[in-house]
Amino acid sequence: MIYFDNAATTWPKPRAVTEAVKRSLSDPFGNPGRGSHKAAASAAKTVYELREEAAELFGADPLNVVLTSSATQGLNFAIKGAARKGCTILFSDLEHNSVRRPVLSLRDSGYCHTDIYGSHGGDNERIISDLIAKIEPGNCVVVANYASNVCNLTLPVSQIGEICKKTGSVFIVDASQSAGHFNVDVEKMNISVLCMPGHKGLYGPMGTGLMVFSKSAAESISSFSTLIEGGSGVDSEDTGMPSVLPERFEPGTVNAHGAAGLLAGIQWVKRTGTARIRKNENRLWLDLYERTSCSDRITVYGDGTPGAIFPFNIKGVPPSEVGRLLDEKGICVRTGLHCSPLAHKTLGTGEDGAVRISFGFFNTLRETEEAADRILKIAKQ
Amino acid sequence: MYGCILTFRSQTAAAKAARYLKKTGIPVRIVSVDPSVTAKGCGWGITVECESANGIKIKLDEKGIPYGEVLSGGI
Repeated sequence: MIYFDNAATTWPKPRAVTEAVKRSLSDPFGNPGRGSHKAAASAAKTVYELREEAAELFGADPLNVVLTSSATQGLNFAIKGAARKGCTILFSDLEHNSVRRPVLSLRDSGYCHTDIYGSHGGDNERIISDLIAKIEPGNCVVVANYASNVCNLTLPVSQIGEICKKTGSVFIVDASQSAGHFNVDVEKMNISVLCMPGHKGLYGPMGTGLMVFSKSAAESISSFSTLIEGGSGVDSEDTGMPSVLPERFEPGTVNAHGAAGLLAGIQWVKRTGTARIRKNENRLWLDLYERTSCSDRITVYGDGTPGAIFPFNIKGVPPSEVGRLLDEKGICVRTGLHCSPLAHKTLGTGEDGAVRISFGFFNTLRETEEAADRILKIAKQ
Repeated sequence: MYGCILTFRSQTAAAKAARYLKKTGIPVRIVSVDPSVTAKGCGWGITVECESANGIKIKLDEKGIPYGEVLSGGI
């Protein structure tokens, strides 16, 4: 099998991740944060180590690292938690439904106003001027997809962060396709809340995710409302959730087995280095591009920037059919709109979407060669 | 022999303090604190020798790690 669906979830996982999850299931591993006996302490140590490693990777304090079940959950917590009645939420035309839907639900309930700023094909000057024109100082939440899940476009997160800081706006970043690929620092980039899955570029298990708060966002955490309330292991007599991180956004038992795997995943990413990971993805992208560019029936989308995502269509063959034909030969890709109808509309593939090949660190040039052969055969049919 | 408990707002905060103190050569244990002795029920702390509690508080202040009160006769 050739696994080319790493933007959905990376596979295979590093061996250390598998071993860490296995150990957490076989060794005494109690409920972290709910007791101080040896088994609970063992799990709590693992969970804290995860916060520490993530904090180091994203320039934050371990206390400001919240464990979630996914990027979607984190983005819902962040967007709905930060939104105030009558505020404006600005989001880009590259956003995934994990941003688009919670934002539009706030708009449809009459709670907030919303507007979209353009990605303008990666023209940073136009992106920034569009954002400045729409931002409402002191009453805005800005959301940005650092790296698209549909193409290799990225948004100028540092520049957007500067504008948010100057205008007193909350800045939420979706790092679903950038965590583990690019260096992200919440303080240096003026990000209020960074949300990400654990199972993609961080190579952890599915069902894991992180929210990373900046120091200033953490200091005003009481102003972030909660979406889900429940046991937190502290302040049990209070009727509301604790006003401290991470407990405020961790109602119920955290996925400690997943945390064990994610800890190993982040450690692996750190050892490997994001530059090396990206170098491999770029190499694979360029190889596949070169091999398939001889066919005028194949369109590869984006601005030609290599990266982890290779979106394409074959003239006259629906993306779903291309996906089926590739699957017949053991090549796993994802087709359609990739939960990002907005990004596909921006890319000009809004109707049927596209075929998405997405690379991971363990993919090889031999695999891109085999995939290219198959894609060219389909194009010739 | 530990006679006191230094309390924290959460188990995560206690873990941060414990990790830091361990690095500076002071091993401590994270313990849950009885609800009857905390203001809001269910608290967390680290075990410390009573006579070194003030020194530990200074170290935590230097690192900016917030803590609560010192409970004596804990262990």
